[in-house]
Amino acid sequence: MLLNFRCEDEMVAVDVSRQGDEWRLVIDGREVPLQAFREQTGSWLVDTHQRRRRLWVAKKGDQHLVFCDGKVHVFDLPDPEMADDAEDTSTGGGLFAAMPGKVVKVLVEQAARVEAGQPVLIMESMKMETELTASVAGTVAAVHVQDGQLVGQGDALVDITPDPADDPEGDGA
Amino acid sequence: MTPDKDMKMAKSREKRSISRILVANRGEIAVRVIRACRELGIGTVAVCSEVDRHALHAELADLAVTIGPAEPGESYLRMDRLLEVARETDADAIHPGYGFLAENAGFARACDEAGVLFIGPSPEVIEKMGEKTAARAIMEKAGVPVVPGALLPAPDDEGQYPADEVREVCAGVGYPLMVKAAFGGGGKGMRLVESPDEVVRACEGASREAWGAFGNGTIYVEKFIETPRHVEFQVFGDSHGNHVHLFERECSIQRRHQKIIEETPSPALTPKLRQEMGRAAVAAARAVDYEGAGTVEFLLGSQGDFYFLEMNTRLQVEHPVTELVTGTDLVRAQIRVAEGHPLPWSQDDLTTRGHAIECRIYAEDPANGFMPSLGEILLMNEPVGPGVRIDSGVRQGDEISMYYDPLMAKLSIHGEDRTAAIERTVMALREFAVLGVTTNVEYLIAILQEPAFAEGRLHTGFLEEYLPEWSGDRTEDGDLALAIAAVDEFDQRHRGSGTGSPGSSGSSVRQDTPWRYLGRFRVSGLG
Repeated sequence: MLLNFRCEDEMVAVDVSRQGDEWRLVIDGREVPLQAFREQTGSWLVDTHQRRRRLWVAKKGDQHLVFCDGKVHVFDLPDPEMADDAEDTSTGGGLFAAMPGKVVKVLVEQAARVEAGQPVLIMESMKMETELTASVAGTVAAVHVQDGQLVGQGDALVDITPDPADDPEGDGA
Repeated sequence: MTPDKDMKMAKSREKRSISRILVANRGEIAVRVIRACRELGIGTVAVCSEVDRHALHAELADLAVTIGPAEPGESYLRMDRLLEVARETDADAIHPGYGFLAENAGFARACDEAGVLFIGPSPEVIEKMGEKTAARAIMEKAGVPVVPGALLPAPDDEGQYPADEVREVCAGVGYPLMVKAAFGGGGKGMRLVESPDEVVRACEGASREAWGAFGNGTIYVEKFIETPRHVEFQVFGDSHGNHVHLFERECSIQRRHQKIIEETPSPALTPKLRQEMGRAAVAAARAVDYEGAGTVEFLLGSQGDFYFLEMNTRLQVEHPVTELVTGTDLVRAQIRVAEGHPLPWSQDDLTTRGHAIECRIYAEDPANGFMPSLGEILLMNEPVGPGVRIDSGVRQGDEISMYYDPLMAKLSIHGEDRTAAIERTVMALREFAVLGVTTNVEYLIAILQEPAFAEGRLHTGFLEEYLPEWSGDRTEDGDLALAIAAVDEFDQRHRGSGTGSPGSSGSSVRQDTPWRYLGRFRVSGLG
């Protein structure tokens, strides 16, 4: 069975087949023998270098989550039937809500100049305040929220138009 | 003794057995209290918000009553509802746990008035200790050393502080300084300020946060003791005038002023210093005629100088480490003392054995500003073994919601000595698998493996000093993990749907997570 995982932005092809507890994996053309057996739903016992290890797995949508010795590894296994249109949605300096929460205070106004690292907005979630800062220097193009507003994950908060790489106005000179 | 006080003591000395306790909390602490009640043959009533109907604490209790919507202000903080439920369910006592209403004098008073026993100190004591500035004055008078500090002028109606006055007061205290909530705790409403430029905004932020968390925005400033340790003493008092301490807990490992690893004994205390600080802690408890479990927090300077920080008039999150080394049960003792029994131990009875470490397992992303991580716990494996204690408030399949503190569980380890305890803790964390929400497990391991941690060189800025910009490392074992992901997928497809890894059936919703992938994995022989 050939599986195409995405690790960071690279695709890694894994060809997997089994014979009892002996697994044969070909990862990126390299052959990898493996002894592994399923202990129960979500956990595997693996023997590597004469060492018995236990790994836990779960699936979240297309994501494979693997817990190994305290670390969580994430691999995407995009459904081949679904067109892969997860293009880069980066908009430069825009701020989005990373999680649901409440806007405590907007610290900038439209058309204001901001420096990279400058606090732009204070968010509250789970009773903790977090200061969101501008990732780039630029101009505030739009403020989508106001003080006290509840926002959902992924909501646009503030748009920032980054300064052009070469600043002809030279106001920072 | 004044006649008034005499009467009060006589009244509180009456024994009164408890038959049913309402636990006014949620999560792991509610579970902890319910378990203690079961052992004592005391009935339990849980309260829960609408989103917590199937939470562990609600399902463990004899009876669970939904008291309102998810917002704590509409449920867990509703004193009127809690007392109504206590009446309806014939609960004769309320255990507040920690957080929520645990240090709310108004609630303790309302309980008194409703004839329900509040398991904790008197409303007067909560009031005195809850106002950090009043507490400082009491401690100074009792001969307990305090950190130099000052009150701030009040803000205007819009929450704006008078900038010039604030800067003047702060200049008097000296920089760096801490802005703190007068009625707070737990790191909320707290800001470190390095220079006059930041102080006004810090005050506004701290005050707002204090309002949100404690319903009171009063703040004050305190001189910042550089590279101090946070060492606290567990104290206990009864209605018979007895006061003891149950030794210290070192809680210097903090992120955003919130503890994440606590241990006892503190590697910094000599027997002499321990005795000195223990004596100060008992003096503090005695100064307010303290009843029940409490904690006296100190800042410990590098020269062995220590200062009273605050007194927490409740059970602490980190109480298990004390229980492990002293062989006591603090919740059981709380209940017994509330019933009017004398303390189960005298100071001479109390000794410690071995070393204990607690790690707080949070649903948060340490690589991303400790941002809470929300969602369903698709998989959870709690470690087991000798010396391993888990206090957990959630199970696999539960949801971490934005409404509450993201503490999922506490891992408390007992070992023969500090080295053994650290090794055992690391092993347990390596098996504390949580998938679906991001946790701080990898981060906790990184802290415990820091050489400075092993050497016991702890201070409250430890994480900023030794693990700044920490983002984890997933290159090691990345190949093995990928192999198992492939093997599991293969296995699932050959077994048919629904029998594979958790979360594999049902939700096929695509979700983004804040995980960043780290480079390309080296692929080598695994056999």
